[in-house]
Amino acid sequence: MKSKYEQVFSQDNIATKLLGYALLFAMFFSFLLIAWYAPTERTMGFVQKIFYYHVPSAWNAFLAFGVVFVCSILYLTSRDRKWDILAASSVEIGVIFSLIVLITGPIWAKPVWGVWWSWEPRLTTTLILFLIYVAYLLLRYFSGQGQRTANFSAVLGIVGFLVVPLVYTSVNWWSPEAQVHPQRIGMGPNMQVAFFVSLFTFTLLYVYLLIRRVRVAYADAAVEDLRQQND
Amino acid sequence: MKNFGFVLAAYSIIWGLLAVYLGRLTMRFSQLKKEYQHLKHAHPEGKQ
Repeated sequence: MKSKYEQVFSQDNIATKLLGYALLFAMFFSFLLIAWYAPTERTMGFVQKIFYYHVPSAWNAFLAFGVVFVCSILYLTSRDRKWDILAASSVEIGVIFSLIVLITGPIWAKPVWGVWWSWEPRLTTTLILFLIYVAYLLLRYFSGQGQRTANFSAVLGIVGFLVVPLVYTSVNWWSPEAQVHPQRIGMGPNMQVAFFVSLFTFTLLYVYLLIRRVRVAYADAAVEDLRQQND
Repeated sequence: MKNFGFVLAAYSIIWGLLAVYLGRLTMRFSQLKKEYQHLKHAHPEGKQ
């Protein structure tokens, strides 16, 4: 007996391995830039170094939920299971990066704003975004792997993404008095280099994690397939 | 380096969380691979 997903158990292809090595190098290089090349910010001081991982984590969360949005539409139009697998895998990674944003944000906020948390527009909308995708994961966890679950998940994946532009533009929609986040970020040239290298590294990290997560999802499908054949 | 502890805490949480996640994915994959091999050998092709 054999599953159509069996090839997932063959060894990592060369591209994934190369991506892993490139990622390790990029992480190391990015860390050097953040630690030594980027200057210490004048107002906030050393704690501003959190910015170089905090913002790329938020970018990765948006990217992950963007992938969920596209894959969910593709799933609903084609009913091809691969889009559902890709969407569910991307949600998990997006939730992890959102969690990183929600943890590192307060750690940065305490010494700068004097409070761990403030119910201001960007923080509140980010929390809502996180909770929507946690609900997506709970839906999948408690409803099994049927087609109905995939359909509901796809709808939630599409609707949930509507919050992403709201999070991004929240600093412009409300008055400056209601905000703690800055409406504009000014960076010197060295800071920009460190930031964009970090952003690139985190994007690679997202791609790498997604490949690994999709592999697990296909392995799960292969085992499930074989179990059904045996029954 | 004022507030070094905050930066260290943030960096540790980020890389710690990602390392745990990647480790969990690797372990889950190995577990599924073993399970697949077991199921495959328990019911070889042709056996009804």
